[in-house]
Amino acid sequence: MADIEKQLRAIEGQVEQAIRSGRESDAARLWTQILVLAPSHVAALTAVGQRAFRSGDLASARAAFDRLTLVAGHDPLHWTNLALICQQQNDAISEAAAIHGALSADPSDLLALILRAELFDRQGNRHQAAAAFGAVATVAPPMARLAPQFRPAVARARSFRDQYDHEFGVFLDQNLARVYEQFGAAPLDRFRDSLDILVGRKRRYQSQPSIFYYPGLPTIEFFDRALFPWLDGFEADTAAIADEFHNVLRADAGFEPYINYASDVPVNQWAELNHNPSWSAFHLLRDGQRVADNAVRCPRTMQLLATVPAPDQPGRSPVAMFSLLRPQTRIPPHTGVSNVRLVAHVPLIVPEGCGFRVGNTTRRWVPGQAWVFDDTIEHEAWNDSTQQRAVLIFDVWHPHLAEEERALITALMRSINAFTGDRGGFEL
Amino acid sequence: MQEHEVSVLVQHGVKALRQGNTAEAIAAFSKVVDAGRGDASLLMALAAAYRRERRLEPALEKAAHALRMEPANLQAVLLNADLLADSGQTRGAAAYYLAALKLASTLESIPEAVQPDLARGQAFCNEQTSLTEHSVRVALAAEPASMASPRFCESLDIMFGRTKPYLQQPKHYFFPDLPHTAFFDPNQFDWVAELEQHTDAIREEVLALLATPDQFKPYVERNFRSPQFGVNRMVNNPEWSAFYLWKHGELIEQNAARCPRTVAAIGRVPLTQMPARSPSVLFSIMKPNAHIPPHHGMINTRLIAHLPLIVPNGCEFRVGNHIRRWQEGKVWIFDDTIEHEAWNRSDQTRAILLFEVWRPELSNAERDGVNSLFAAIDAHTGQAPAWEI
Repeated sequence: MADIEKQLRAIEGQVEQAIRSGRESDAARLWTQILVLAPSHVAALTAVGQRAFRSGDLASARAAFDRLTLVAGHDPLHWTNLALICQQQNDAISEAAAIHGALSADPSDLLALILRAELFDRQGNRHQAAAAFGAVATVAPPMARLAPQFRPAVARARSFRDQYDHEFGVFLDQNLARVYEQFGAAPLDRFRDSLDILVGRKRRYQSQPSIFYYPGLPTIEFFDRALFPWLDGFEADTAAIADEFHNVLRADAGFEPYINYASDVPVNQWAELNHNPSWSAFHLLRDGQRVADNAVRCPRTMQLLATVPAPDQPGRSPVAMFSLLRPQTRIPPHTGVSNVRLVAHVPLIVPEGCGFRVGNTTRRWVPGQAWVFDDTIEHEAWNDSTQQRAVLIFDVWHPHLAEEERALITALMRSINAFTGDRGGFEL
Repeated sequence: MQEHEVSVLVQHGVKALRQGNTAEAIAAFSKVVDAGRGDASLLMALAAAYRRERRLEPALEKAAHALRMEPANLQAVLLNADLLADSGQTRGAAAYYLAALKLASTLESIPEAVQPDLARGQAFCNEQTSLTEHSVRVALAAEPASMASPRFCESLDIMFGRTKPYLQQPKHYFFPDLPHTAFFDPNQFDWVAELEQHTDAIREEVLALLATPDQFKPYVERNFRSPQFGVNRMVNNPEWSAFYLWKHGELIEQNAARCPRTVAAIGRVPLTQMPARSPSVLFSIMKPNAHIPPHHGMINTRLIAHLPLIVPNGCEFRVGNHIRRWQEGKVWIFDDTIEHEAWNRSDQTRAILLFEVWRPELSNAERDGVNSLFAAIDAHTGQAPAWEI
């Protein structure tokens, strides 16, 4: 026994030398000698198998890798090599078994997942191929971090999956038309959204407040208008609000840039709009306080604002303002500070070419039609027209918060202020 | 001022600093800056010289000026933070340290020399947060009923970085706009009280099953149709096993026949009905010392209910931020698309009855929509779904 070990070590040393000095056929001969002494030698089986595969001797290659999967089946590489040999031999049944072996060893082995998807595809099994390509797309890291030899296969997996999802979506739409008809009157918006998300036409958006996240609330882009009956007053009086807006606009005093970061802090996506009058505001309520000079000029608007279930967060909320978006201005995608408050829009002046997106949903402002949205979901706005756009904006308690919860949040903000010794800002 | 003059003054100032003559350095650097020839690094050097003299006001002014010139200069952000901290402006300092940490996280590489400063900044922010937290918690303790709302308590833990939000993350199908609720109030479900009354009868049946070996199969069975992550260790693992009465919508007759009282009791529960998928009703068994690792369920239109039957001491169950102990005979209902895990830290077997019900927020039209959707999916793929409970 010890003798064989000694002999083996000696031949292994010779193999190493032969490889180092580029004597390939010598190395091959030595590997074969090793296999005589140790038929389960992993390195030797691998070398012999690979050499046979390169020279087109598929039967010998297969014998080597068959044995490797037997003696070292924990390594998915031997299985995927075996699968590739079976593929060359047009032996789909054995190929499937080898892929199965690789995935048993490691369910997220990327090469095995690719081979499985491609096999289903070759066999014309479109649905299983789509699921398998989907698994490839899920498991693969982003292209930039992906080994170059996998990139074409992963790109193909993604496009196969996208194409399949598209057809799948069309099929589901046709099949569900009957259901939509049957439930004509029932609200099925969120069900339709779920279908769009399932087939990749929409994304799952989450609430991403930058400062204060309140758990247990639903993440809804635009809320049901019926939850805010007091908006009727704003809608009915849109003309009066717009008059007050026009008056202050003509006076041309009190508007200031909406984004006002100190110039010495990093401003990321706000660089362009920082201190920029392209997006400006006329504040009526600011950080929880009435802005006296401005408020006296807009009595009707202030009366209406008094009817709002406004958040009471000293130093932070409520806020209310006329928001003025100049022509050709885009507000980049961003998220708000806290999901305990929602944001209401009462559109006043809306030229063609303006839009507003919250998560998956893009809407147009229509004067006289107010809405309430969750600003902790990614949202953006644009005015691509040649005229300015004006909207009355203010915040509202999230309607799902109980009275006690609102009181607790108010107490929390007061406590933070008491500790930091000042009012204002949403930072800790 | 000539280029040559600038370089003489700067060299002079640097030399003076090295010799400990800060006043001389300040004079030299200031001449350059006042002539409008100072760049960000010279302004920072000047600020540092003022700092050594404990003249914090001009130091802050120069440091802020440097940052205006180079808003993405990490060292300038840190210097501003340090100076604000020196002058006792803790909130401002924390804001700048935070900005520095954020900025550093966007950089490809961070200079070695800055690492200790960043670590100090992180420590400063942590301390501020913990001071704020302490003060806020003391103040809130004086509020009546301040800890009565579990959601509010959780919001505090999230705000002070003790935990993170846990959201619905179904692996397969996501129905939007639903609240992210870990455990539901059992009072919302009118069948709970009646089912709980049958606990003893149901327990007798599971005890009979446990007395006969090999009745239970691993809960997570190997499935080659989709990759299985997260619960990898549980695949084909008998530590977590199941005995199905209904599986993916079908009554398992020979099993049901052995548990007639359980079948009768569960018959009065409005189970989720979905072709080829629901209901599933099963006894879930956890062996001694078993741990089910964190994982997410398939779809968020259903909830999972547990009726605990045999619960040794040392068993726990976590859904998101909520850790609970099963109590024999007390049903709970949770959203399994929020990350959850389970422990049996005892030396005995834990047994529960597990089944699924519709989320109460879904209207009948929406439930029909979901069922039609999955029927259409099956029609499209022409095969039985790969499904899990």
